[in-house]
Amino acid sequence: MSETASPAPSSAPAALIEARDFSVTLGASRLVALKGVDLTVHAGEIVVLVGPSGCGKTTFLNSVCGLLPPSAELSGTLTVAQSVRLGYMPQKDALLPWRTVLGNVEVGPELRGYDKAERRAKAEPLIELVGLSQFRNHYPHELSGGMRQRVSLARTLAYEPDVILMDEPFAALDAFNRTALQEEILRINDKTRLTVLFITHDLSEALVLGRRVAVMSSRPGRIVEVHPVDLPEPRSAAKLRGTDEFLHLFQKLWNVLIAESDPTKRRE
Amino acid sequence: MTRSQVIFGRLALLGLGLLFWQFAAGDLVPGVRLIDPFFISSPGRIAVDLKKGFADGILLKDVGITLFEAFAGLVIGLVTGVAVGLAFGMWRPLELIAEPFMSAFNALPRPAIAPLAVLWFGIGLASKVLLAWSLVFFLVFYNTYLGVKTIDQDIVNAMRVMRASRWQLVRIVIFPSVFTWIFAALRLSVSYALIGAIIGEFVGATAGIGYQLIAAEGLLQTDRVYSALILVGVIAALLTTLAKMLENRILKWRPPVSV
Repeated sequence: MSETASPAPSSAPAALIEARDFSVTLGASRLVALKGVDLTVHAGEIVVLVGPSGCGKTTFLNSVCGLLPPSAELSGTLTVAQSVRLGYMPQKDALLPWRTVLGNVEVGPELRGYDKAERRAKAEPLIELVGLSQFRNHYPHELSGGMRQRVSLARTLAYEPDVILMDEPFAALDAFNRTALQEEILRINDKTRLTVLFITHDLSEALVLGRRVAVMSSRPGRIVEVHPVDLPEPRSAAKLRGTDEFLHLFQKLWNVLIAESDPTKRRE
Repeated sequence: MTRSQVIFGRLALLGLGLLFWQFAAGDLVPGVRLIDPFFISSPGRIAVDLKKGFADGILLKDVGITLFEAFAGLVIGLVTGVAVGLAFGMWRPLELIAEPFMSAFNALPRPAIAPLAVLWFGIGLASKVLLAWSLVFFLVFYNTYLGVKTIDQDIVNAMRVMRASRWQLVRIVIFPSVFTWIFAALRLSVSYALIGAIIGEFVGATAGIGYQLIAAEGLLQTDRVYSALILVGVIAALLTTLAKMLENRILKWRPPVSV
């Protein structure tokens, strides 16, 4: 049992991921990638970690996943609540090229040990959910980048994870597909509340998706500010961007982000 | 060009070539010949010889023997090549220590070790199987080994995060990914197996197409040399086409590659 999951069972949602004064030093050059990061992800919320390229966002995500190189030195604490299943959606889709859409989505339940019939039963509705029913028997190379990320999303959901880790999953997509997939995440989240730790360098994406947005400084990365995003629900990625609340919040966090990504203006 | 036009063009080219050959050997227009058929035979003479050879049952028997040797070498080469390739790809110490020796063995020209193979295993089938194996094994070994080494690390990471067991990782990612490399090597393996078997028959044998070739040459039977050569060519073409069809069927998920 994790110490953070035990108190106040009904009122506060459980903390599934909790970092306290967490630092990471990488490689022989002893590069300080993360310095004193404090961040908590509670069940049922979408937390977005936003920061300039190379600030250590991915290092934080890899720490949660257990994908850091063996040479990494850690200090402080990073607790992932026990028996939490992590889903992972990288920027590159990481689909199996020799499996069809259906076969790829079935990997999720397959890893959970479900038999063939159950895999199919779990995969089919999710393919439907991401709008790819017509393409269920297509191979990844026959799909566009946006469609491949939809498959990747369906596969991740089919694994039925407690927390989904997303590492700039839409960064390689064109603007249209990016917005469409953000919309998809919001729509799915309205149906079944997801717990997501989402990483991006795109502040507008962070505000559209996040219930809380954590701004990270440039290297060595630390959390500068965690800001709640109280925008009207249910959200729509396309409409939200034009609203006053959105623009106001964007401006405010943009200033923080700019100040932190420029080392010369940095307060130490 | 339409497909039927292409096929027609090819047949026409083949026909013209055969016709010219027949003419050059002096078998088309009596009294006119460019080269003595002792050196080049002629399509007509080869056809007669093939008919005779098959009627005797000699050629059919020899084709069967050569195919058997090549097939045995191919199967054993596939199995051992995959096994050793997986071991090298997945166990780093083995790779570090033994890889240079593999390269050295693979660099040996096979005709040079053919006499040794015959010395060890006699002039029967085993020495030919060994030579066919020695070619197929290294091809499959290197393909399997590279297949393991070049697996997409993003896929492996995604699987690890989703708590894939080692066996699940092998079954879902590593095996399928290696299979594609093995099937890509299959076409080449088939011709290599045939080459190995025939080299072995050249060095010392009592049967097989390679043996027929050498024996006919010794007896100055030019027609038989050409018959054997054509048989080998046809068999090799048929087998590689078969392997290619199998490859396309099994690797149908790949983006189409035009050659």
